[in-house]
Amino acid sequence: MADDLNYGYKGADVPQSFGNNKGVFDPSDINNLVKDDKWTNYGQLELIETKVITGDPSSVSLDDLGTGYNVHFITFTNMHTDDNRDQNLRVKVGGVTQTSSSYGRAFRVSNSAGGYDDKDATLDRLRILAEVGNATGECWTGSLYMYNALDSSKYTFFTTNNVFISFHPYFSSSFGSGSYNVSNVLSGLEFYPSSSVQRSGTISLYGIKEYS
Amino acid sequence: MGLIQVATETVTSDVGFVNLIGTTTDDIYMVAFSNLRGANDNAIPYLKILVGGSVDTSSNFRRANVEMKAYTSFVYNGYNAGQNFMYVTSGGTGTATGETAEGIIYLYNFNDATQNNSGTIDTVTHTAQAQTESWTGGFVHNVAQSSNGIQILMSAGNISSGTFTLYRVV
Repeated sequence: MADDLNYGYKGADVPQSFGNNKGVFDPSDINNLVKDDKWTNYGQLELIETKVITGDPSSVSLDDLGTGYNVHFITFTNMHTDDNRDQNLRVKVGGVTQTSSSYGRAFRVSNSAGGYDDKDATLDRLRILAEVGNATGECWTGSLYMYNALDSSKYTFFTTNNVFISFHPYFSSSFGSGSYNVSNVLSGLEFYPSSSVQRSGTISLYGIKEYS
Repeated sequence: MGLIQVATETVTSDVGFVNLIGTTTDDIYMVAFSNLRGANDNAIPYLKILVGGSVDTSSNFRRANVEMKAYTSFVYNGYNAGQNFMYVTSGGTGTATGETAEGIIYLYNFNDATQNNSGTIDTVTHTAQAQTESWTGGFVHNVAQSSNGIQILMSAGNISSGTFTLYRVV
């Protein structure tokens, strides 16, 4: 039975915070604490959405970035395109894909032929990696961290690590970073190949929760 | 992979440094930081080791890294002679719009007194020159000791903003 305190069943209304909840709580109290970001709930990698690519779409969008995250984490598993395609990313603002030349990137591609530096200061997309193959076993897998996507006063940044087999075929890895150099709140992300369609793959989006 | 928050600090006005303390088990730890900006234009974020909550000032950092720049050639370098700090980014943060640093740092063997501390760093900076730069690399702090955290500071001046969180990876 709840009393009239906002948090806690009985006694004085004591300060509550993550890792420091004191008192006896009923479900209503816990709901209030969760709403106010003061409930201790260990496990700060929070799954927002998983998208399994089917039906050969021209692009794949993640349109729910959650709320309150400074950092997001995205995993890519068994991503397939047609042969010799680049994998691109664009951000969405208010549901609209952003195509201005406001993306910068700096990546290193290491492969069995030696590799190369991959950079562009002003492009209309963020190219995550290039030259992916589509023969048996040729695909890409990796992860990407995204920063400040939900902050209207800051640019959005990305760091990423990937492994793939190119069309040559070269066993390859890529790592580096990119940025979307506009201060905006993002509503989503769009992934698409340099031409043709996304054949298959799984993309999972997580928020990395932090309690101040 | 799961993450359990161990410590966090959000900077909204100038501070000399941020200490993240709590690497008290043999697990891997992860630091996520965003919106890191120095009060001085072009100041570079550094990392130092905390032992018993105090900074280890010995020159025992060895590193290997690549500085990837969106606008010019990349720089591959390392340092094996020992430094008393570790670079966190390529290029310094700036005071203009968007000129901040963000990234992920993994910490290994920090609690184990029989092992050297080591770490990997992946960061991105929109620099004081308004350019995108990336830093990927690793370090070994070449002393077998138990360390309980890290300190983030700038090459000059204060930290003026940033959110820094230490997680235990489970």
